[in-house]
Amino acid sequence: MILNRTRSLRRILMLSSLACVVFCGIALVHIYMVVPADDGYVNSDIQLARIDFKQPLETEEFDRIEGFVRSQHGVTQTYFNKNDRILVYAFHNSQQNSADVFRALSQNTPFKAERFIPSQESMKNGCPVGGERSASLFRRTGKFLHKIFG
Amino acid sequence: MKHSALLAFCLGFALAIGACKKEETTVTPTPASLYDRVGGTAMVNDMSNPGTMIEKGRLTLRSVVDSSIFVIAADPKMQPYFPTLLGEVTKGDLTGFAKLSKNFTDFMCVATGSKNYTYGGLNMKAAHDPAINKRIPMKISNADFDAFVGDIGTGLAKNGVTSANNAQLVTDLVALLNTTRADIVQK
Ligand code: HEM
Repeated sequence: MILNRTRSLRRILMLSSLACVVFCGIALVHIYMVVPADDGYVNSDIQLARIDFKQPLETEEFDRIEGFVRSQHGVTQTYFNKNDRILVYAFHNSQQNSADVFRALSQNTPFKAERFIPSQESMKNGCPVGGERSASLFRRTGKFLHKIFG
Repeated sequence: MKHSALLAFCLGFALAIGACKKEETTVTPTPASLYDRVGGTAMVNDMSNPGTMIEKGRLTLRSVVDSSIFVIAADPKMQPYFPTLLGEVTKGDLTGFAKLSKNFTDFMCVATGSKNYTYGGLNMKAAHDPAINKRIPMKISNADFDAFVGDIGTGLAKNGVTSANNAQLVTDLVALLNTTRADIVQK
């Protein structure tokens, strides 16, 4: 009786540790696949943001806005879709954030603009691997795995 | 006698081979691949990754892809197709963005004829099928495919290649993108 119980306990233990190993293996392979290998992107903390302008703009006003945003600390690149009055810019998210850029623009220029924020629903989508910022545990694990496996 | 027969045989054999060889050298050279035409395998410094070298062809294609991502991000017609990516980027999670940028560049390298890179993403049909790729919420229409190619044209122009200064390259790249239309347009 006792022998039987120890035996089934041992079996349960063995099965659960096997399940653990398989689960961890799958998780690591998934993280490895989701976190991309280095190609100038992994190390980068470049983020994109968008501002929509709600009023017609003259050529020099486009230039003034684009010039202002490009001069903000950490901003690396800008692109203005003049037909739709949509400005997209890239910035180092370790040095700058889109809320501050938008605030500075609103305080220093008179144009009616809106910071583009995707719907709550799309913000919920996506895989947790990679986490919020580049320092997340998942991301570091992914980079470590790439270092080993290339 | 035996020797001269052997000599004659060897001479004949050598002449025959020589003749064949001559014929081989007149084969017309294969035209340069699109990858060669955008820079090819010459190694250059990778400015965005100091201290590393990169093939010039890949660097060109990567710049075009990165510029095009800007144009696409500023195109309201494209916005409904990229909710997952836009949501992630706004949260500060750049994994999907980096992956798309890398996969698109890999795809373009392979499609233009690079031998040293491989594409590891989904095939074009699966990548643009909402039933398989959960990152795309709906099927793509012909008109939106055209708009997307137009955005890549703007990305090319941002890198100094336009129909005005290099019509052939623009035509050939657009023709290459168009070869994926049947797989990508599923509406
Ligand atoms: C013109 C030819 C096109 C090519 C060569 C192309 C190529 C690609 C590649 C390589 C991927 C990544 C697949 C992966 O990571 O497994 C991708 C994903 C995607 N493509 Fe395309 N594509 C094209 C046209 C389009 C068009 C016309 C649209 C929409 C209008 C579109 C929307 C998307 C979306 C939403 C994704 C997923 C993005 C994400 O990861 O969040 N593509 N495409």
